[in-house]
Amino acid sequence: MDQMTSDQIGTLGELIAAAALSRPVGGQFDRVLFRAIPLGDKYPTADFLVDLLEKDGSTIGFFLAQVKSTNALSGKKKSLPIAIQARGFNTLVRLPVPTYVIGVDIATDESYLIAAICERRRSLSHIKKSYNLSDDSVRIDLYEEVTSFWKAVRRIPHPTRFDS
Amino acid sequence: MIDKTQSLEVKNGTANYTGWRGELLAELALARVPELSVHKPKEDLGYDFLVATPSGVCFFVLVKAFSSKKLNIENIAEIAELRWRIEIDQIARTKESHTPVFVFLIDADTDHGRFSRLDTIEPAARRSPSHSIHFPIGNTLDKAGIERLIAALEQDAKAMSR
Repeated sequence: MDQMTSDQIGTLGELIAAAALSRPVGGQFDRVLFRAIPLGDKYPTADFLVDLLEKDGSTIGFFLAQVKSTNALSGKKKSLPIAIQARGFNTLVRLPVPTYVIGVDIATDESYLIAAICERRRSLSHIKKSYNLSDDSVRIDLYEEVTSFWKAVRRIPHPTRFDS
Repeated sequence: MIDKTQSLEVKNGTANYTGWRGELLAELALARVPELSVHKPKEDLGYDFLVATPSGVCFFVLVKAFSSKKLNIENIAEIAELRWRIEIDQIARTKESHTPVFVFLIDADTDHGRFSRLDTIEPAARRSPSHSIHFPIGNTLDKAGIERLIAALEQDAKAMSR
């Protein structure tokens, strides 16, 4: 098969991103930090709920990620040509949990991360290649960033009428 | 220094991610051949994936994963042959299925994987509870390796239909 369909590119890209996120890091952690859980086609805003893992494999928080993949050659360019509509991106930004977009270059198997933190007026046409998920340091920074969010949230009292 | 003629037995480590990460990497390896249709059985059939080619040839995949880090093995991808023990009962079940069965052996730390066909194996000593399956370096689980696997299966299917 010479040409991949957009569905095939999407599936392959999601698997490449999930594998990159879950690759064990070295150094002080020396383990897997993330596990990406696919949300399926019926959840439109994000493709993955990504669990942050403790040493024993238990979950201590999560983030949501949208994956965009391309087989367009970007070579040594500093960004990956990927189109994301402003509306879809802003829906991700408005979610009250950490959210990110992962751009996948299926020609090189590389995955690049950007935070979905500020709403945009225009669509996104490129993802910069500054934060490559192949780098242990990027995965460790991401882990610490999202862990900090959940530590802060846990300090906020959560009133409930559903006592156990 | 790697001995390139080495044959090394690997086994389950204690890492808690080997199972799910092994399955993920197996699915990724199969997705690199986009014409394949890959299904995850909803019920426990004893296999992890059912795969179909465009010509209708089907095969099962059983995923076994380990952690080279926990086993202190370096340069796993360069070792001439890896081995993994599988219970005789499981091999006997694959022979009853009438569908080819492949084992994908995957290092959950380095993403390196290999494959071996299970249903054609004849265990030498039936009294032994398990049999050592061989995974030569030529059966590396990359796009070219899977395409070779499919070509061989389709050739077998054609020969049988004559």
